[in-house]
Amino acid sequence: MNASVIRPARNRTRSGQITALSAVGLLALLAGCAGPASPSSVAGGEPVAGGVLDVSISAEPGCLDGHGISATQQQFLGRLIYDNVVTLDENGDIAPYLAESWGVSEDGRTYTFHLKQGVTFSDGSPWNAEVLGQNFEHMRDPATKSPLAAAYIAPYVDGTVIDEFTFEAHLAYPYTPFLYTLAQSWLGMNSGKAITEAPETLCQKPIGTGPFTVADYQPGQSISYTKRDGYDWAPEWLEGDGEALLDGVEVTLVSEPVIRHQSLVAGQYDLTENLAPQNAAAVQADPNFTYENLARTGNPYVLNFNLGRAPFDDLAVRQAFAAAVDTKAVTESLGFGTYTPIDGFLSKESKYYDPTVEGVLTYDPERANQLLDDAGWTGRDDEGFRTKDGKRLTIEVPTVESSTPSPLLVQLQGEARKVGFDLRIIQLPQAQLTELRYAGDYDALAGVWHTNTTDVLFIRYHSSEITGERIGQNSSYVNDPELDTLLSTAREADDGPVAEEAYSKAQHRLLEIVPGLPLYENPSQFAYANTLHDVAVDTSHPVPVLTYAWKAE
Amino acid sequence: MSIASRTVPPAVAPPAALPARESPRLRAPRARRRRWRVRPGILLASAFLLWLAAAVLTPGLLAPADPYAVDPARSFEAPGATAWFGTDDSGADNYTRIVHGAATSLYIGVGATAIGVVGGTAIGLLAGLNGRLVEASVMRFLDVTLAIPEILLALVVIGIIGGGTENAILAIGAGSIAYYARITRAQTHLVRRSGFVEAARTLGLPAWRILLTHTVPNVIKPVLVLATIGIGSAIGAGASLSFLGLGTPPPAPEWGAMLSAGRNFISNAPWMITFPAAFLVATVLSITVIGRELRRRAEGRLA
Repeated sequence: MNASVIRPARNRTRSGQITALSAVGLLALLAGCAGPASPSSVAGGEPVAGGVLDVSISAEPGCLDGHGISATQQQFLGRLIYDNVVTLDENGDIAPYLAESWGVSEDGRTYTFHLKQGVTFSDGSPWNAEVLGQNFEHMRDPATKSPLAAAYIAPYVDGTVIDEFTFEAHLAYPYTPFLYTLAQSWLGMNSGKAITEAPETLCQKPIGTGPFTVADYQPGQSISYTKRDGYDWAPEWLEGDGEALLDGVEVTLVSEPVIRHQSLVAGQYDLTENLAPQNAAAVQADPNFTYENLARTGNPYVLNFNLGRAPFDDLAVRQAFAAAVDTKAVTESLGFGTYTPIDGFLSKESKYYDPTVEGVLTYDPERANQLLDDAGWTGRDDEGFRTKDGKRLTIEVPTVESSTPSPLLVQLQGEARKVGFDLRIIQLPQAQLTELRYAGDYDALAGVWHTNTTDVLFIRYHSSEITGERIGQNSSYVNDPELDTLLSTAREADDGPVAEEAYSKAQHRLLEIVPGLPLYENPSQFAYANTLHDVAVDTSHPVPVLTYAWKAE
Repeated sequence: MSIASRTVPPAVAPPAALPARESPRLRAPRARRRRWRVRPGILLASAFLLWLAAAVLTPGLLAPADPYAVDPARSFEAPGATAWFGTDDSGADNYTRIVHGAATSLYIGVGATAIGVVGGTAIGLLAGLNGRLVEASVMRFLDVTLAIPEILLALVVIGIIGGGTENAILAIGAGSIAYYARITRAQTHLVRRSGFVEAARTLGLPAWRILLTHTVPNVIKPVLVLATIGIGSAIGAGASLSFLGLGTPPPAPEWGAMLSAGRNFISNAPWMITFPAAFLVATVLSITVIGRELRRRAEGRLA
């Protein structure tokens, strides 16, 4: 949302490029063997078309259909193959994309979209009002198992196809964040033909209207993208026309941070989607690379407590845990100065962030011990952990299995142990973790939820977002009527003082409930070789957009 | 390492062209010296193993601090007076963790070797004492097993039964059974045809008595000597599995797991890698050196 931060980064090194290319041209002339010079090199600093870009990513969603996943990497991967109904412009305002214009009814419950004509999907099928309706249905189809898109369009009741390029969406109540969510990568438009004929193939072979298409997908290994011929409907803020410049993008999963860094420096990859904080300073100091550190908006990194079961059903235990951890030191050691400590449940860059939340939850081990004593956890077993009625104060935190333990969880474990918590890190395969997560079978879960609207508080902490028939992201199982009212009010209010007041109160109410331990904001950190030019930054999430990026050889 | 330590030197005849013999005058003082001189390698290895034994038996004496204690405010502290070997990403003391991790590493090494020796001896005896058909089928099966690298076999076992310290021991032990079985079988043949067994048989001793009092004890001695070398490579294999995240789960202080945690910070805090690696290398080397010495002496007697 904060437009000043997510400004497209472009032309950073074009002047340097001109010099380099001229030198090559001069050398060729002197040698008297110009040869079959490519037309682009004659043009000097002009963009060069062609070439395949090698990209390393830190994790792979396991499914490429944005509607069926919530993985962070989709912010970047989705931009390659999908277009959205609307987009945010460089100021953060809603702007046309696959819809040329739209109207909202007086009561805020009917949205009329006038769609762009002449847009086609990579399978040749057309983009029209019917397809938009099919996409909404696909998002909320139980078979899609959507962890994100379905929640974002939950107020959508049904739609009417007015004519081939006009669609009317009916909402259950005024839902102001609707258009913002439609601009996010996960809600990109899938081919209507594919949705009807073979929805189960979309994970493996997604069909969008975007600048690239998926040529080959090896789950857990790599994704090959090739340029989409005839692409001509990029959003205006991208400042380009027509097809992508690169012939293709080769995305490889490189889960080890140290390898992502080394292979970038060695030239094996042109860009890494996720540069680990410990390598930030080295890449930043290297004149051959561009390093970006861009703030994200939404729900920061939080250890979410499960309020639905013991021991975190007890407010005192939650408050004690929050007071037991020196979050500033944890942030510093994990982020190498690139992370920002946070005291509340909303990122500082988010709209309606209330700075008065700072300093309410503080590191105070003495208070933590006092709270636990008062809550009856007075016994100690032979390993030094607290007990009550013979039961140990145990916290089970499941996480995805990995060869290196999450340093965050190891630190939280050590900090919590000092006041008598037995925090157990349970490493599980991804599929099992997902199952456990939506079954609510855990005491705490660490995670983030980045989005371009402050409605993230509703998505994370409103009682209607507890997983039921639809997957919900209220992983803390918060069910607080007062908070519900505030979040619903804010969701339905137009941008302005009503929303501001409700969001401010909600942020303070969360500090009373303590649904988790706010830890830090982890910004989007990516880096690329300076042979790569015109890498834009997305306006909904600060990730690189490669539509008009080009590679100088 | 493992290949070198496992190759039993073939009993080849000395090459035809021997180097010129040293004159007796020169040889005499050397021979005398050999009687009391201990090679420095052996001395160093023994000293290190003594330290290791202390770390396993009384870790609290060598490093009184808590190996699980973290202090985020002190993370990535370079080696110095407050932390001899530096601190890791959680601010835990590296020296303390290395001392307390010795037990786990040795536990894996000794445990896995024990499984390998017991299983291997049983199979080897079975093959060596039974008829041709049993022997041929068992040995062909072992040949196939030996064709698969030990660590790969361990990974297959882990894939089936899952990770963890005990499972890692099982996996590495299972992977080394074939190796011990082959040695046992060869040794069984040797002992079976030896004069003393022949004599016992002539004297009319029952088969089971010959087996228990003559065959097994003479078969097992050289196997045990070789097993000491095996402990070294089993420790290495255990650390490899932990490094891959399949052995001892974090945050237990295990050397392989420490290496694994440190590799992402290799340019920021190299001490997270160098110290556990140095201790791992020193342990494997020391055990191998001592094992070889034991074998050298044993071979002299058995030949």
